[in-house]
Amino acid sequence: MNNTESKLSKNINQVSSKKTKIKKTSPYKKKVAKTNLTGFLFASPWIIGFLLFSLYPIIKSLYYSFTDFNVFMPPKWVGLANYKELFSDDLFYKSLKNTLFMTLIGTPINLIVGLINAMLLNVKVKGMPIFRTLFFIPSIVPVVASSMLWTWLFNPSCGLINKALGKIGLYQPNWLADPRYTKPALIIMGIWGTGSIMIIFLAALQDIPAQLYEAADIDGAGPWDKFIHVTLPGLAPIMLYQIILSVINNFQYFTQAYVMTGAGSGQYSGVIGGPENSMLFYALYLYHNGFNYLKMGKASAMAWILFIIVAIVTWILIKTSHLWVSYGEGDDNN
Amino acid sequence: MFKKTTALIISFLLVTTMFVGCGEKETETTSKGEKGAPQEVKFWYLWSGEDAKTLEKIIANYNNSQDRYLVKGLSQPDEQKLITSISSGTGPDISDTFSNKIASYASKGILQPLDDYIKKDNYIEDFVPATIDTVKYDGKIYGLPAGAGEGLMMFYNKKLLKEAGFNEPPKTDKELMDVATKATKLDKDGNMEALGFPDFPFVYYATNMTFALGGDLISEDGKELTPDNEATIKALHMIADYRKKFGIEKIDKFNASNGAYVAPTDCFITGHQALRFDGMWLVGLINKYNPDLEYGIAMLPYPEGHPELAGGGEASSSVLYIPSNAKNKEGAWDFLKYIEGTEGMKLWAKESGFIPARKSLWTDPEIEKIPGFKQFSEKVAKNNTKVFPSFPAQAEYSTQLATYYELAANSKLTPEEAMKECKEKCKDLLNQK
Amino acid sequence: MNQKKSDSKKVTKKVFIYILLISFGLMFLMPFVFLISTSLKSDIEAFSPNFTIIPKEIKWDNYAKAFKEIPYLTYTKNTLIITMSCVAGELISCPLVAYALSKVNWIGKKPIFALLLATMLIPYQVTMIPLYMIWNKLGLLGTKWPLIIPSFFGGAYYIIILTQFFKTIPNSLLEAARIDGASEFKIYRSIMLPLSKPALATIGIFTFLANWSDFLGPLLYLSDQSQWTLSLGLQQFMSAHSVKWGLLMAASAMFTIPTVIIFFFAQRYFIEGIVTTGLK
Repeated sequence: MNNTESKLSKNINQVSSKKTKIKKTSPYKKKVAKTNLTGFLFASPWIIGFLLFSLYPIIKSLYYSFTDFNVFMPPKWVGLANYKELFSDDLFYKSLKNTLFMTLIGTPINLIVGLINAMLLNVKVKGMPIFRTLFFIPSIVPVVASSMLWTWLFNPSCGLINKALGKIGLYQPNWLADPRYTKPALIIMGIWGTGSIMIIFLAALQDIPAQLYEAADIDGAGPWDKFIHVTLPGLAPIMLYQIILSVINNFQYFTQAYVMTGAGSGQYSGVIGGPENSMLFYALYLYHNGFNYLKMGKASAMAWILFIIVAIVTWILIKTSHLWVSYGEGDDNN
Repeated sequence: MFKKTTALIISFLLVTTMFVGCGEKETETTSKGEKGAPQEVKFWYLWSGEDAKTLEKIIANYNNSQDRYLVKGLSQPDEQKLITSISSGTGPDISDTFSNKIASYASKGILQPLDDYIKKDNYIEDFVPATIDTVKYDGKIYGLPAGAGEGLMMFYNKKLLKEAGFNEPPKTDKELMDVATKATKLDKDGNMEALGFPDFPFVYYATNMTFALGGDLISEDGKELTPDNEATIKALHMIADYRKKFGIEKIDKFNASNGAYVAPTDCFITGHQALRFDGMWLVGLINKYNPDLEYGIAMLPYPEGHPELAGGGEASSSVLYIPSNAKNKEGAWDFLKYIEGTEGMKLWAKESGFIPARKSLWTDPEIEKIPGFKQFSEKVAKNNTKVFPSFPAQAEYSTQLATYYELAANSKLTPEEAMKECKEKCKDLLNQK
Repeated sequence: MNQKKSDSKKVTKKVFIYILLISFGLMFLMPFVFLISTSLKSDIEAFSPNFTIIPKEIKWDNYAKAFKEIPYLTYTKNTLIITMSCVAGELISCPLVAYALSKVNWIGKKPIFALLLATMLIPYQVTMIPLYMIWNKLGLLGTKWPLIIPSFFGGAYYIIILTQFFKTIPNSLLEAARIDGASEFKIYRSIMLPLSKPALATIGIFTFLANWSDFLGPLLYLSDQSQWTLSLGLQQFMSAHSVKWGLLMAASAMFTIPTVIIFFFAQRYFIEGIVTTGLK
């Protein structure tokens, strides 16, 4: 190639490099390299953080899961012993069952309540900020305090809930002492904590253009039709996200269980997970194994098993998402 | 606008770094101490409330009596957090736990053996020998007991017993069943008004009853765990029968409605429980919340026909220890000597209401005045108490026992089935470190 | 005629909505009402099975007592330090990463985003123990640093929100700046950030709320009492032998009120403001 020709092609490349690709001449390559470097630099905080706070600990925890480790003495390699012990441990299965119950039943309930609240709070009425704050407050009251309050509300003879049930003539269970009712009690408690779910739904609802509703009105659509054909599709992008997040959170359910089974909670049986271990959730059992029995190796094994379960469940949710969630216009392909 | 937000962020950062700087400096100077200033000794204890106030008094007395060490106390009721802190090397120099955890902690290297210190200062002669046994593991002493390990006694409501036709508390297991059943009261709706059995708090019942009835949770040679021993099964049958007779639901409702343990609405304190297993601290609380209560203190029942076994029960006491990675062990030992010494222990026992572990104090008139002293010391004298099995995985054994006690008491399994399963579950625990 | 009908329909609809809002609102407010109510009761009345909303004897001094009984100011200071540092950390790091994942067409754009999503799957229990040991080795246990440092590396949740938000800012704006010769960082600083105020406010507030009441973090990492946060401090009112209800509730009320206020004033930012801004 002679000089003028190469100069020409360079110029052409610079002008059209946005629309066309390919031409692998050096100015293009330089630009690509520069862009990659830029992207990498901007993303570096998270990348470094990922290596330090996620990748390394995950690998380390996998290592610990194969050891006998009580924190005070160096870890001792024991191979699959922890896993074998877990798979023959009743309480392990019990804690899994309890957590699955919370996830399968709690997740839909929380999402539905959050959505209903969000829709309610989306209406244009005076004083809306006040209402929104009212709905949000319960989710920011400290867990320690609200758990104690709920212990009261659930009191079998003089708590408000049973009093109300009594007035309607329904059975008044011994909420926190009857193993059949402890988890439902926790789920009811959880409804009051759906503030953050509500906020996300609310923000998403605001994103749905008013014109769509107006068009539906003109077509004579009733409220239910509008919900099915405007609201739900409009929420589709974040719905999957909310579901996955909610499922993951419920798999890690810990704080309320910790408070409701610990000191000052009204549980005097010495059983770590409440009545017949009905409140022994996976994360709680993990915590006891690690910090009460000082069996960090076993706790790490539990953590990894949870990780794998969560990964599988999420993968299933995503793979089947196209069956029940439809995306709006171009949102991945920016 | 953007400039404003950057300004805000930067000013926040500045302010917070200032605080962080200040905070860090504070802790540095106090822990290192300047030349001539007393060295800090951190004492974290599980007690709170009134007991904590007593400890702070003792600490103040100690600090005033010398100027080499300055003890700083902290109430830290969450034992797991305490252990977590110790594990990270940021824990205290001296702390406390219960004697039924000594083996677990000692085997993991958490506790500093005290034998050398004790020998140097010739310290433990005055202690009741049985109490020193509770703090030994593998032949070494790992802490000092605060109390004589008197354990629990049977508190009884004189009025409720009289109304049921009893002028004396039950002495044997059969009598207990009889009294409990007859003293239970139901109101017109069939709800429980007075609880006859020592059903509340549940956690105090089964192990204590096991020991009281002459059983043990570990074999004599220490080679096998025996949750299925006869005494435990008998004890579980008793509570299961009581619960079946009056209805678990009713009892649960009663327990739930009658407030939290040792709160002002505690069912025994308010006079709604006929028989109760509890510790000496209950005396102080009754005096505080319901001083007019007519009650008595008796020993736990013995098995019918075996009066020589009277005074049984679980011996456990609080134990003060020095973590193996404590920063100031010398200071910790010095304070430990004081609080476990005659002067410190006397004030402690007197105010917190327990029987001191030092024999010499037993003849002290002020100690004799501690409510319940007579009955509790009689029990200690009988020497029929036992300790919870001492081995590294004892915490897990305790949890498994609690789980199966509950299943048996609620008749989800028969006591025989429950304890057999428990034994099966726990068969490897003794081998664990 | 139709106008009148639809007008009255609108009114009944409004009334209906108000009724729903008020009743649901009261229901949701209930725990907080109990909180305040108990905070004004004496211990004995707090325990009484006969529940009353207005205490027979209003103990205003529960608040003063709670304030004195635990080192409230110290705990507040600690909580503020940690919370505000985390807010600063996230606000600095998250937009940077979000920019890379939304507006820079580099080779890692999609993979890193996918990795980001994947890390949200990791239950914190998996990394909890090794992280604890790492901080142990670094000698930072018992300090606030383990709670602050990670926020300077970007939280996945916030990055995702910001990325989605950045995507709504038209590329044409950036292109114009690029053609003018502006560096990526200049574009980031002078175009992206100013247009993202609502989203940034949202992130800031979420971070604040999350850290203000964080319990497990301080539980694991703050051992010395002088370092405790409010959420840990509340535990001091509870012990195996008694719970000081009135004081606990008073302290909890004081603990909650700042967050309520912040939410009330900031809500319009993130609820209404997270909507696409378009060209301004």
